[in-house]
Amino acid sequence: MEHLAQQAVEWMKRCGVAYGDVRFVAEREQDIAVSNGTVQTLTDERSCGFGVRVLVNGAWGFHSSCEVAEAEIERVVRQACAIAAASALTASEPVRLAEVEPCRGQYTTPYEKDPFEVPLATKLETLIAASRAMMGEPVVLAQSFFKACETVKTFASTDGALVRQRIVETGGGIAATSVRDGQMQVRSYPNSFRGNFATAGYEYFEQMAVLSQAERVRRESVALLSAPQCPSGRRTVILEGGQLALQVHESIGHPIELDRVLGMESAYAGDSFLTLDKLDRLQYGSPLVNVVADATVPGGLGTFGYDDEGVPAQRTPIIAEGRFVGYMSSRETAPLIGRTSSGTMRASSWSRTPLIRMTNVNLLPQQGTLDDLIADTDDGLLMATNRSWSIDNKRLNFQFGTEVAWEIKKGKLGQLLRNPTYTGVTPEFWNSCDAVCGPSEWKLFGTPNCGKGQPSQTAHVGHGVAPARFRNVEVGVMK
Amino acid sequence: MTTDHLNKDYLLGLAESILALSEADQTEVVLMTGEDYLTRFSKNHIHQNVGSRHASVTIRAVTGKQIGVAQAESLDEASLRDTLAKAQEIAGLCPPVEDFKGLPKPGRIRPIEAFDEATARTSPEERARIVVELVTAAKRRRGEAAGLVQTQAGAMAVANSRGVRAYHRMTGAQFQSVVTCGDGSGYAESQGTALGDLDVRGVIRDGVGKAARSRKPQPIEAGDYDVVLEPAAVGSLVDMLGYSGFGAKAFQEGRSFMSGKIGQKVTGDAITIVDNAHDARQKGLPFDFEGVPRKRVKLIDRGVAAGVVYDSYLAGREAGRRASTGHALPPKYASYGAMPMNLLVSGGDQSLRSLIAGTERGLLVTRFHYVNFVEPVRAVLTGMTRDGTFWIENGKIAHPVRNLRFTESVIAAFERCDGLSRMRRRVEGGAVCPAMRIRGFRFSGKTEF
Repeated sequence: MEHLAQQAVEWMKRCGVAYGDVRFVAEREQDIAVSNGTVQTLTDERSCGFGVRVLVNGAWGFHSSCEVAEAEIERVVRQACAIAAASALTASEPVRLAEVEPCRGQYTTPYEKDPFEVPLATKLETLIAASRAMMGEPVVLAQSFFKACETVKTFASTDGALVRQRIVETGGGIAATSVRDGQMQVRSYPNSFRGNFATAGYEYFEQMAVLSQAERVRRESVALLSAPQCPSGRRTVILEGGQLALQVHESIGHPIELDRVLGMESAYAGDSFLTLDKLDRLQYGSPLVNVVADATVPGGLGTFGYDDEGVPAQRTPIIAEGRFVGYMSSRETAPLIGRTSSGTMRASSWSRTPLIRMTNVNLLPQQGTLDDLIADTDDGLLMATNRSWSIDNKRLNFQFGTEVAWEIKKGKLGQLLRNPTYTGVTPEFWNSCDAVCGPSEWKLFGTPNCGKGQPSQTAHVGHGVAPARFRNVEVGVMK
Repeated sequence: MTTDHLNKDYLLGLAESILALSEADQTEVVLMTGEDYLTRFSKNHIHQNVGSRHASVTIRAVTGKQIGVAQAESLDEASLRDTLAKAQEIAGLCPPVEDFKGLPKPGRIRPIEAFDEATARTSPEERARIVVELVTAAKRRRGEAAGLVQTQAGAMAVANSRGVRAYHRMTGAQFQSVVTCGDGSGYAESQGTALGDLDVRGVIRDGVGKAARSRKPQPIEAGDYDVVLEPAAVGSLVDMLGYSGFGAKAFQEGRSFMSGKIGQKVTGDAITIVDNAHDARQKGLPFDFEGVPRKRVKLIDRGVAAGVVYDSYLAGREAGRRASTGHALPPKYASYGAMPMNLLVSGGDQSLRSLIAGTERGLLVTRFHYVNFVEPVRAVLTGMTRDGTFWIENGKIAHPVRNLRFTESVIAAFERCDGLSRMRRRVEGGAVCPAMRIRGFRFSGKTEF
């Protein structure tokens, strides 16, 4: 693809663009879903195309095509320029990009076993066995999932960048859904919404050992049907990894996107309460809250070599001892706050223009184990595995539901509780954090369904977390 | 742009060539192609402006009861051959799906005229001019405009080895705006098959006017309030019912609020919801992703559970030889089951003004944000208000208020619906909805803006 990329750059230069880049992307995805012992989805999907982004008269234009051929590339470059010229009809300030050293390099996800080389029969055997192990009344849906993605990208720009990457992702999981007397309860492993995902090979799915967890998942799903409703009130809450990862995602990851802060998403996903005056000033959380946006952490679903502007992957401090110190930015937005790009521009496919997307937004570990934390809690709740989520368009008021909660009494886990929910306001909530577990409990969770942008884009992002405790949380909002 | 790639003979010709090559017992081909353009603006200027030409082929190969699906985003000959080979290979490896009854046979498809040549050829300048018109109006009120103008043209063909041959082409256009005036914001939208269908002036008038009236919102506590929901707010609730409750898979598995309740009252008398691709306000696909003609399906009839939507697999596994209603999703999403795509909520005999006039104390809600399930079986949802929330006092809009979070069972809330507008609008998400008044709607939280 490199010669086609260079050809596209030449056409962009001939068209007189102030800046231009092209991405050729070839993707492959294998998706398997087994339900009640039967294969419901088994697809092999391939996609190949390119996208051209240009700056003309200080404004952006983007066009893409699935027809990878020289004549089509030239047509698409001209179309992108025409679109940019139309954008300029409303331009106020011309777009200026942060200076970066043009990169020329390669990156490949490290892995042990290519997930596409593992025989289908091997995957199906595991998935069908795990699904069957969860079947039987009152479980109505015993599901197991596997997914592998490979993305090969070639990026070139009129600045002289030329970058080639191969990203490999693997993941999966299991879920049991039980229904009785108008109640429906779900338990999942290792996370809800089809499992957990990483930039890794098939070894990652093997290490999950989903079959070994199937009986427990089934048992807890059934037990929840007769568990008491989680009572309402102000409580101490410990969030386990999967739920805490989504809490980080919604109430830290999205508000620190500088395009949202600058209003670029205001009509759809919304903007952010983290206005520019809060940088280096806001006490976002307690001193135990330390967060980085790290595209370099091995295995993270948001790990890569270069972003889709050709900027190298970085580890950017976001919250340091509770203080808000950094945004995720791009070449366009970083100069507006006097900084350099944090390398977080990514597009979900060749047909989409890059946006600022989370990389791996990680809550750094402190000390102790989850058992230590439970033992240190006199009266509270342990909530696990997300079931429901919603947050306002400035990322302040949130409400989450989890699959399960356990009562904590005098340092010990007690009875199972169903339909737990909690709600709060972002800075108050993070300032109420009085414990974060240590490195032995720290784990990466992949979020493969992060939506943003119009036309819609689904990003694959990650969150490393260790369980954490929060005081005085409003629990239970349902009648 | 040219529209050659949308041509019927071209797409069905490709489908025939794949079927001729297939060695499977049964084969299905779904071909899609099109061009999408979207002009996005914020803070009074266009900041993202994109176009895309796309094409895809999805092949389902069936050997006995073994099923394989492969997809590629390319229609060149090599891709088509590779995709067919992959689908056949997967079918050979996949265990049999015992309750699979075979690919559907052809049915009579009633065509839907939903293609506008001018929309397919819309230039970037035409989209930008609409933005300029809105920005000019917003600036007059010291406002800032954000939103999008979108035009699309596409075609779809479905063919299978049992004789299904289905083709449809369509265009679409959309104009959405969120205007911000100080600390107030206002939302307005218009959708149609053609760019010329859009109510551009109405969107500008409503968006700018509502933003100006939303300045200085007053704090409000959470609690139970009578509400008048505008069509966009109603649409986001109804979409979620469609996702969780109106498909046969959730229904059969006892996960729907409709499960085991056909013929029984599930919500208020005022509520009738149907799915109908042929309605003039919908102009949906006339067939589904299996090429089965879309039927009009009554889902809730004056509060009584009336039916759910099926694809051929879900219809085949239900006792009583039920037929598909023509609501299959693309094969790669088969595990989600069938879904309604063209929902319509019946209107009433009131105007938006009279719904407000009949509210002594309550809230007018323009739209909801980030609506999600809390408990699917009871259809308990949560979400936030945004872009135009007003306090109603003695039947009149008194002042704007800060946004609130609701947590409420939608079917229980619909029981308390005591008024619907005659006016209905197709809203984001695709449902056609009236404005609706609900007594005692539960707001569980508040935010700071």
